[in-house]
Amino acid sequence: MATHRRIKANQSGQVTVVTFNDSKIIDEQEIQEFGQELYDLVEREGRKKIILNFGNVEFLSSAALGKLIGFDKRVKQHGAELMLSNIRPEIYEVFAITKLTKLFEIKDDEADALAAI
Amino acid sequence: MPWPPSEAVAGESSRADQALVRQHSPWSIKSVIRFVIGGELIVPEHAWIWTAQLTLPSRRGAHMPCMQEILETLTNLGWEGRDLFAVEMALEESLTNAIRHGNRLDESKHVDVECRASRERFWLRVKDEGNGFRPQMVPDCTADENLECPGGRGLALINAYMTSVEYNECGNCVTLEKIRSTATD
Repeated sequence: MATHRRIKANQSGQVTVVTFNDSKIIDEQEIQEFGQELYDLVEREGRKKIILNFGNVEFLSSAALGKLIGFDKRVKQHGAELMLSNIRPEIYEVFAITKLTKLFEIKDDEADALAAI
Repeated sequence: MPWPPSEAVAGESSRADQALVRQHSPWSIKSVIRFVIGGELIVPEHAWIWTAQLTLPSRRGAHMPCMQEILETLTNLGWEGRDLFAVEMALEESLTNAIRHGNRLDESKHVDVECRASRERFWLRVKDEGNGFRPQMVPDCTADENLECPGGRGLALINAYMTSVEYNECGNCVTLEKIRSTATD
């Protein structure tokens, strides 16, 4: 399994559950790194079912949202599935304002996401 | 001594107040609002407790220290929760826009930042040296056909979180204000 700096990727059966090491996803260099690590999950490691658990994330910028959208595209290109979970209310509002709640499938918690994916 | 000192609100600006502001503001403050001029109390438009001006280089991440400083100041003024989150979002997006899109990371150009804060209000002006833009020409990122487009989300977030947002004519200067929700409840 690849070594990651910005994320932790744990396998739960066929599903890869990703958590974030940074509570604030702002810094551009860090966003580039976390984006590449996500891309690698589908492009190099061939993961097909991915849950992004946002439980640790307290803040994220529009640049981070852009990277998540790019990841979603890669996921679809590779025929994989993506779900988001454990998004705290402040962060959910960011998704709601930008209408990304329409683009991403979001579950309340990891258990719900594991059951649905 | 608790921060901010209550006498600053009452208008008894003092050397001690300014020293306190400096202590909490390691970056280049050029001015501090004064409420007493020549012994006469001047009632300002709003009784800002803290103001600062600074110039940022157009370098990735150059805004982070001042952003942290402003957020700490607001926290000391009692800001918290969604209000503080809103300011953090507006700071991040407006400063990043100026550095990255306005000045295009050209380190010969600078970003001028002016900030004011009180227990009830936050005010920010960010000006870059770029050619500006027309906000109304930015595609609506919330339209279904634009959901996957790369840009426009920063502006949408600023608009959603701030009480007022104004651009100058050429679009290289944005002025934001946030009235704390708990202050209006």
